[in-house]
Amino acid sequence: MNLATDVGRDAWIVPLICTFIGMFLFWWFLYIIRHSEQKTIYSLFKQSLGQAGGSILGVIYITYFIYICARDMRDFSELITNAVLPSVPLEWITLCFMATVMYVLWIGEQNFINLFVIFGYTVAAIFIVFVVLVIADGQFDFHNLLPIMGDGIGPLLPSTFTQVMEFPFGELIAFTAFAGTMFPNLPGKVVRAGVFSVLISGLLITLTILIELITFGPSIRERALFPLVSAARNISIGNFIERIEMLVIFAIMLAAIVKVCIFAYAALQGVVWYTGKAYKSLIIPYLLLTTVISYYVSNNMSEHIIVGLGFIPVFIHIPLQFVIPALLLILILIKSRWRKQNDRSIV
Amino acid sequence: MKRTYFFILMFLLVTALDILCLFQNEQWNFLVMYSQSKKLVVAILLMITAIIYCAVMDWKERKKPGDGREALRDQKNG
Amino acid sequence: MTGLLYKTWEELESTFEHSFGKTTDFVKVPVMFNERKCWILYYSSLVGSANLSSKLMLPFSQHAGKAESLEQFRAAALASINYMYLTDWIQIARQLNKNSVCILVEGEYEALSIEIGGYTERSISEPEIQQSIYGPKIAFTESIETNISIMRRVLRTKSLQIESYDLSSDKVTGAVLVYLDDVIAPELLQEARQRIQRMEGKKVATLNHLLEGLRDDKKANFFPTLMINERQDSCVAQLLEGRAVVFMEGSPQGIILPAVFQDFFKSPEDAYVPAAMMLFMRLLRYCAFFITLLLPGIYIGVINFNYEIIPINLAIVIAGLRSNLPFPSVIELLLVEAAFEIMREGSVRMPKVVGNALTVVGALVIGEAVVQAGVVSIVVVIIVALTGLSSYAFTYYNFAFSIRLLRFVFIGIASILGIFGVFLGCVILFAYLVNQRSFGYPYFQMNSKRSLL
Repeated sequence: MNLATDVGRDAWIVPLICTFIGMFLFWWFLYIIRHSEQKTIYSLFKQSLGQAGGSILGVIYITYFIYICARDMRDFSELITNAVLPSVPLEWITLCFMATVMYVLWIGEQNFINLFVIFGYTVAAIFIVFVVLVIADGQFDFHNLLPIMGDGIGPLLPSTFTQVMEFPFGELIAFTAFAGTMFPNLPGKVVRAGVFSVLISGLLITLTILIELITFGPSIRERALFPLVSAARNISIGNFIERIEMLVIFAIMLAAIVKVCIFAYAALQGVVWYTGKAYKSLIIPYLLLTTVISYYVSNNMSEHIIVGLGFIPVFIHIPLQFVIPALLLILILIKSRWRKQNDRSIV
Repeated sequence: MKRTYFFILMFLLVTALDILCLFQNEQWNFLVMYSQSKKLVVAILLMITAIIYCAVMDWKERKKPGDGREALRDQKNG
Repeated sequence: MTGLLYKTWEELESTFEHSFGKTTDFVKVPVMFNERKCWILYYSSLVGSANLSSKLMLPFSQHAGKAESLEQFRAAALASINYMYLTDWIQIARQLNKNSVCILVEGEYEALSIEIGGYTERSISEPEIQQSIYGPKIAFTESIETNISIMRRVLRTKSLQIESYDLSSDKVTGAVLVYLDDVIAPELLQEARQRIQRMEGKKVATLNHLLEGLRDDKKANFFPTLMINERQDSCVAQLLEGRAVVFMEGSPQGIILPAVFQDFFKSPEDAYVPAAMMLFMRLLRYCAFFITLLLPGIYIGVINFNYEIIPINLAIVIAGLRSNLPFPSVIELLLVEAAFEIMREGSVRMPKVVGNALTVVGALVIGEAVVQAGVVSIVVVIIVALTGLSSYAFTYYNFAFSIRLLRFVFIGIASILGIFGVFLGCVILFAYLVNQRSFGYPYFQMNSKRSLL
């Protein structure tokens, strides 16, 4: 939630850089799965590593998706216990949230995609209202941003490559589990739309961090757990429009549902691939598992953030998001060249 | 019973990953967290529900064998 | 059954009794047709005496003496009337039940059935449920013929197609499917035909039975997926958009299919006001939708869990008003809601003259006495009144009804989980709406394109 705090006032540049890397990443992921038979990453593993190796790697990826899903669930539940319902235990909030996610997944992919389109419009509307209110409120200071990149680009790099590139952008790997089955053969139109939406969402993240920075300044932002919510809480126009954080939390909730659903769906597609059971019969057990794991990912919020932004990106995200896809890409290229040569030699 | 076994496998793997992450972060007290009574009761209840659900679904499927599609999938995956 | 209608002329009388029973409105008149014996059969309850004498009896007395055969008589005297030759008793019974008169002549083994009709019908009146300031003051009536005529008077084109279906177990309750064959999607037409045919032979007494048969989901659904409409202009508009309308004998409304979520926010009036005004009104209706659905829930959530999000001055006022009330806020709200719902239900059933009195008494009791006695806070009364008013802003009664029900669900969730519960409820509600289908069309979709899934 609180991205790139260690670079202070230049935090907004990091996601901007990562957006362009992210666009390339997404194109790369889709390129990889276009080269598999069944157009999913699981079939690609089998194709390139054989039955046993492919299965092991696939199961590792399912584990990874479930774990990330659990972390996101925990993120959101922490936000609710901190900002909305301090009196209700975290376990209950996660359970209720999970029940909603279950229903959303149960209505089937064609329907929840339509639902997410509606969510997108809602979030966009809330974001516009929020930006307008921030501007109308007038309690912001562009001097918080100055000097832009005063220390050069050097200090930005660690946080770029070990945090932001993995945390929202590298997670696009989840799409490789189902994009190919949802849009058969992945025509260029779909890829272009995907890359474009990565651009839009990256710019949104940049804009969000900008708003957080100009309202608070880097030092308060660093200490706040949910800076966006705090920024919304600070808005006060004529003592009448006050504390619009509920709107922002609603938007964050919609985004959280989308994210959790996508990871859960990616994991479920993997389970379907390996067990061959009906998708709807798997929703309940795997989401219950996700809930249990989300209880245990950490003791408290600060520990959760330390693990989520420190250890996980480096030791879990990087191998699974970049190293393995890169190896797969190399494998695909070698194989296709080899096949071409073979074809030529046969002719 | 494929569904149940796969689910238990996934449960073990995800728990292992979770413990690994906590352990790596020098959270030596993860055992304390794992034994917090309220959380533990809820978690155990949820896991039992999930496993029973899996087992029931498997048992239901066993009653009507001959689902051609599933057999095909099994064959494909060995 | 291709046997003869009768073997000997004399056995006919017992056949009548055998096939039609002893019902008293069944009339059989023995007359002479060019010196042959002849029976005229009809139900006196379905054939008007004025129509009978002018359409049949007068020509009969003039021409029957001269005609050689039944067909010759029909061609000469009854040229302008719908007719049919029938050869078995089941068909005769069916035709008699469809306002016809049957003529049997000795020596001819086919019965002539001619449509006479003319029983008393309600005349066309103004729409009562869906009132509108502008637009034609024509509502559908209970008769299918009248309804079709109402439609064709506006859509004078050959592409207006009407298909008749005989529903119900006795295959007499009629239904018609009306559509414009150059606009409607062929898949929709196919689906509609199939679903109406599926209803044949089942018990269809009211429009509701038909609705249940036509619906996609057989289980209970909260939101109407088919629209009931009694106005000529909105039905015509829907037909032009490529939808179909089903009329049923005996019910003064048409069923428009398919109907999606957004359709329930359109009013027939929209066509008569400027575009900006129409947009405003529609926006207002969407607001009313959310107020009706969410306001009580949000109130409960804010009062019980998130006092801090209301502006401080308002919070102080509300707290002051609620300071020494006997009930928890949920009970308080439910009490007033219940009183309001009872009042609404009561005023629907009341005769018009007493209805006003009831409203006044209700307003006095609820609005004044309860607050002054200190049983409920005045804020709750305001909330309930606003919610109630908003629920009247819909043009379709059954749509408002479903929201009224769901409101209580939201109050329930909010009392447990506060505003967070309301949020989750919204998500589930929208997921439910997205999952619904109306004749295969997605019920709730952001872009107005309606791809058949």
